Amino acid sequence: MIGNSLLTQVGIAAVSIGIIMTYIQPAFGEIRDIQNNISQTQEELAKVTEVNNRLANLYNSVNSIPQRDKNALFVYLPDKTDEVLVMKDVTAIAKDAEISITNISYKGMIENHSKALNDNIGQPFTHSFSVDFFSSYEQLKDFLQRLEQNNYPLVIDKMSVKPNESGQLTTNLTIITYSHNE
Amino acid sequence: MPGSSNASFIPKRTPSNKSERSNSPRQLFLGSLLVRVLFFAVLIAAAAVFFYERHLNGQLNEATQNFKTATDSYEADGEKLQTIITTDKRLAQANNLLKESVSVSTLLNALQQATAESIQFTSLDYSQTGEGSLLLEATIDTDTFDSTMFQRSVYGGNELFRNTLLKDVKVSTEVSKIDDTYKTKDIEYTKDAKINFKAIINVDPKDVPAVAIKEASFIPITSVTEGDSSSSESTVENGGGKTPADVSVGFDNQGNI
Repeated sequence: MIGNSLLTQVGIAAVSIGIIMTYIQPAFGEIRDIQNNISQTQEELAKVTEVNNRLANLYNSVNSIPQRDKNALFVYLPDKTDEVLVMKDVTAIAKDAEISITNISYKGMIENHSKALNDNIGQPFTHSFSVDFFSSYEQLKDFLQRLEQNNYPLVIDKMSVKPNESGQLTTNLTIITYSHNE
Repeated sequence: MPGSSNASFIPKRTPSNKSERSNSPRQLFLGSLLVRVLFFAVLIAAAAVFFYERHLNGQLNEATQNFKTATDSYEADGEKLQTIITTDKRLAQANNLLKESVSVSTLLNALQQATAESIQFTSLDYSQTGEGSLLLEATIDTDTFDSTMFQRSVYGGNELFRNTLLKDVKVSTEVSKIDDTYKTKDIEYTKDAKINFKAIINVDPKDVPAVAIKEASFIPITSVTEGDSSSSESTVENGGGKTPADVSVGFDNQGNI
C-alpha cells in the first residue's frame, strides 16, 4: 500500500501531476482534433453523398428522356454537320416548294455568330450555306416556311431579294445551321 | 520449565499486546487523503482518456472510410457525369437556338399586311445584326407623295415596324411619258413621276419567333399562316392586327414583292 510518509505523498502528487501534464492534457488536445476531424469528415461526406445523390437523380433524369426526344435533340443539334446532307435537304425542301435552286454551296464555319454569348454552355458551331434561286413571291414564302419547319435549324441569316426582268424574284439566301460544341 | 520465560528482566510481548497494537487507529491526514484521491482520479481519467481516444480514432477511421467510399463512388460515376454534362450542354445550346429563332416567313407576312397596294418593292434585304435585331432594307417605288406618307404612317402605327426609317426619297420622271402629260410649269406626278425611297426597318426578333415547344417535343409549329389571323401564337399578328382596318393594304403577287 501507499505509505504515509510525507515523501511518499509528495511523490504520489508529483506522479499524478506528471500524468496530467504529460498524458491527459495532450490527450485532450488530440481528442479535440479528432472530434474536429470527424465532424469535418462527416460534413464532407454529407456533401459528397448529396452530390452523388444529385448525380444519380440527374442521370435518372437523362435516362428518363424518351428515346424519340433524344433522337430529335441529336438531329436538332448533331455532333457533326454533314454539309452534303444539309445541301441535299435544302434542295429537297426547295423542290417541295417548286423552286429550282441555281446555286448552293457550303461557305464553312463562322465563329462567334450567336448574339447571346454564354460562357457556361458554350456556343454551338455555326455552318453557313449560300443558296441562289428564282421564284415567285408565294414560292419564296412557302420555301422559307418549309425551312423553318425542318427538324434541325436552317436559319436565314441573310436574304437579298430582287425582281428580275422576267417578273420573277432573284433571291440569295445565307442559311446557317449548327452542330454541338462540347 | 514453565517459569523460565518469566525469569527474564526484559518484558516479553504477549499475543494480546500484539493485537492491541495492530488494532490501534491509524492517523489519516486530509492532505494524504487528497493526494490519494487525486492519484486514483488521475489513473481513472488517464484510462478513460485512453479508451475514449481509441473510440474516437475508430470513429474517425470509419468516417474516413465512408468518405473514401463515397468519393470512389463519385469517381467511378465519371462516365455518368460526362453523359449528364454533355446532355445538359446540348439541351442548353438547343434551347438558346430555339429562343433566338426567327420566322422570316412570318416577318414577310406581316410586312405584306402592313404595305399599301400602291407600294412596290424593288429590292428587299434581310439580315440579322450583331446587336441581336433584324434589319430589313427595302427599296420602294410609289407614284405619289400621299402614298409615301401614308405608308410611313402605317409602318409607324404598326407595333412590329414602329422602328422604321424612310430615307433617300427621290422623284424621277419616265421620259416616255413626258410627251403626254408633262407640263412645263405645272408638273403632274400622278401618272409620270415615280417616287423612290428606302425603308430601313429594325425588328425585335422576339416579335417573330419561329417555333413553339410543347411538352418537350421538338416539332416546330408555325406561328402564323397567311389568312389565319386569329391565331394567338405570334406577336406579329398582334402587330399586324393593329393596322387600321380601313386601310387598304395588299401585295402585288405578280412577280413584284
